[in-house]
Amino acid sequence: MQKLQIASGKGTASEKRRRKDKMVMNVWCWLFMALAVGFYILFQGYPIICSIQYSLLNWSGMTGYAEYVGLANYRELLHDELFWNAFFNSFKYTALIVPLELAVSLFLAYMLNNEKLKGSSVYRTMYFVPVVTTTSVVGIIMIFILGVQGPVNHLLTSLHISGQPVNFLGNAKYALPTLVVISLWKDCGTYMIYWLAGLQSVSKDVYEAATVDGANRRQTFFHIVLPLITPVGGIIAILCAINSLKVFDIVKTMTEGGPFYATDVIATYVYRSAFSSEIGMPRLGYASAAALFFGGAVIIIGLVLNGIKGRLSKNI
Amino acid sequence: MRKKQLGALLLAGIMAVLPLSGCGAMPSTGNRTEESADAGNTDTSGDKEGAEGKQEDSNEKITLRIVDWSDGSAQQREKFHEKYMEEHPNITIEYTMLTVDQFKNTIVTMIKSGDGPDIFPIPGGMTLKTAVEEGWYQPINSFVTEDFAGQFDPRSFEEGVTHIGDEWYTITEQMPVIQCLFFYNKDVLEQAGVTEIPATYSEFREACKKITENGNGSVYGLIDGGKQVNRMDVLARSLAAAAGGKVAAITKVLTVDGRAPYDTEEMKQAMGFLKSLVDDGSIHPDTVNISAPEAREMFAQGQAGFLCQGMWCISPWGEGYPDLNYGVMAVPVPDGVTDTYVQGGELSPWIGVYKQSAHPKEAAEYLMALFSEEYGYQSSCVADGAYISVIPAINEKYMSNEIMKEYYRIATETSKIVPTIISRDEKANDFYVEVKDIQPSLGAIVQGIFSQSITDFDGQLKTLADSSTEEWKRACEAVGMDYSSLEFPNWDTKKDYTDQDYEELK
Repeated sequence: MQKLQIASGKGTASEKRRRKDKMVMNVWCWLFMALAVGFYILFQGYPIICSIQYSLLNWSGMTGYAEYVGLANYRELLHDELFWNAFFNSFKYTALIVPLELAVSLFLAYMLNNEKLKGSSVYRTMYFVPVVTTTSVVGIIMIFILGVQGPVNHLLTSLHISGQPVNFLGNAKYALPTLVVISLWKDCGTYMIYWLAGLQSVSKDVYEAATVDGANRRQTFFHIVLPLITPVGGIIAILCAINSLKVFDIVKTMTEGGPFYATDVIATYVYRSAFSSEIGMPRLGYASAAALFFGGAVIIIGLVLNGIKGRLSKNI
Repeated sequence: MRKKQLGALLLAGIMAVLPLSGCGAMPSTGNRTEESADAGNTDTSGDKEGAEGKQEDSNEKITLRIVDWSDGSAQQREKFHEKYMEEHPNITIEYTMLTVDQFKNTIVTMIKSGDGPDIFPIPGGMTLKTAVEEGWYQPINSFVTEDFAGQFDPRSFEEGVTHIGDEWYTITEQMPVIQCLFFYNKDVLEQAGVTEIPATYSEFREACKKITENGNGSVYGLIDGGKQVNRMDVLARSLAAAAGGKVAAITKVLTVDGRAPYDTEEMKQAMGFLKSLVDDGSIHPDTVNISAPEAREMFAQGQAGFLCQGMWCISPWGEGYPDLNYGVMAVPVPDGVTDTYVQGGELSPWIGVYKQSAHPKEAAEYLMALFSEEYGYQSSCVADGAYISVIPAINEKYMSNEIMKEYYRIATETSKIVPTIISRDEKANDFYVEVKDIQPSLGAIVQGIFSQSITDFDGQLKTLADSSTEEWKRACEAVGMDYSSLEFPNWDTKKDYTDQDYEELK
């Protein structure tokens, strides 16, 4: 009995020390995170909470007066055809760009990951240059390049690929795919870097073993490397999808959501509602509701897809 | 465990409270009239006293912050600032030129944080009354001399635009002139064999066809900044008015027979005319993708025969394309239509002095210099063809640009003053705060026609007219304004709408 008590006493002391260590560790963790949490609260948390409040108001954003309207803005959104047009355009854009972005950037990364490739750092820089170029500059240059009298149309007509110049940005059919191609060119450098990081985490031994077993470069990639880097690919896909759903700058610069709303995405819709109006005042409250509704919809869709994925993997 | 829960609760509390603590800048949801009155009645005497106190030390270093969007006269403004700072070594001008959208995004935040610029314009869509009620501006009467006020064209002062009662708040930038006349490139027309300047739809269509055929894919009939919906709106309204329709000026509202006049025969004629140009292939294919300044450049480069824009084009062309051989003509009318009109330019408020400005006297002095002959800003703007000044003496002396004179002549001959609800009913200020924009708008429909995204423009116009009528009725009811105030039954489009006409409706 006496022994047990002593043992229990020791246990309490070590437990206390463990708890103390854990607490100290927690304090350090929070201390290191404090700056990030502070910035998050200031620049993400606060605007989100403000947006929630604004979404319940009939407010132009320009006057001090606002009328509380409850969920009226959300109800109005449900019947707003242009909101749904922008909503689906955002998803259309994402569905088009994510697979292309993943495939092209992976292809480039795999090519550049080859140690035998001379001047790979030059190529890496070359592919990365569009990423650091300001989007508005890209937009202005691309409007010129893709213009009816621009070099692309000149090439197409000179080579008799097209009899008439193609109105890439002025035709509702081509405008969104054209934006996708330009975004692909502009952003694939970023994703290429992510893929490169993933590829470089694959041990050289794996490549050597595959070579010893007689696998060619294609077989090595599809049967060995790709399965190993798939988790990285999942993260890249998520990042790419998030960036695509909130695309704004390239659309704003090149088409302003036109022609006739063909490239209008949620971000341009929200911007237009919040800051410009042809008659009367803009509607910041309504725009906030649109942004939150879209954000909520994306979260719900993400959760549903995650659930489906979970069920499928269980069944497999 | 309990400590953990408490810690989590505390953290959650902090996270919730911290953001809310910043909500002081959020809008009030109280009674509109009381709130407005409170803001409007904020005592400024302290500011004035403070400012006067500061005047005692004339050598005090002062920075005047000015924000606007006047890109059409940017060069002249820069020169003016240089000269002004030379003459006033204690004053530094911090001038920021933004786009209209950028301005709208930033001005509210600046004002809410009490850090508004000393001088800034009223953003489009907001009336002077609303701006004053929000505490944005202070009267300049006590800071400017009587001589200064006396040099202005009396037509540049208007209740609700520059003044509220006896208080003078804003100065308008220029005399209102219509924003939509057609410029033509004489060389392009000559090369295409167009010898007569077109006046009717069919003549214009024929001229555009000839230019496009002769251009062989390099030159087209008409070009415009189709990416800017507001420019397309002006085009549609001007064409419909020239066809004889009763249409309000841009951003304004009025009804015809109790309806928003967007699906009238004249509007359909105007849209049909634009569609016929599209069907002929006469519209420059880049029109939908470019802004108004880009269209201006491409016109000057000889890529199109015609361009529909305003007087502001003349100055940049003089600077960048001195050899451009061009002229200006009236808005084309449907065949057989004569004695018609386009909406005369409307006086709009421009810059005023910030209510919380620490240097209202210096700000007012800056304004006096900006409109004086001595500093050369007005005279250079007029001489370069940027605009018609609000100072008649300067126009008489410096208006030497022949194209500008021609533009002004045509504008004066073809435009008529159209009625506005603000001049008729004070509640119209509240109406414009309340009313919601209906989309697709008139400008967006024109864009749809140009991009061939719309085939049935009649249906789109009807939807716009129905939705606008419904919304305008709702907005009138919300602000307690009689919906019939939007109707002007005594309006004769062949004549200017005068004060007497407004009186008749009382």
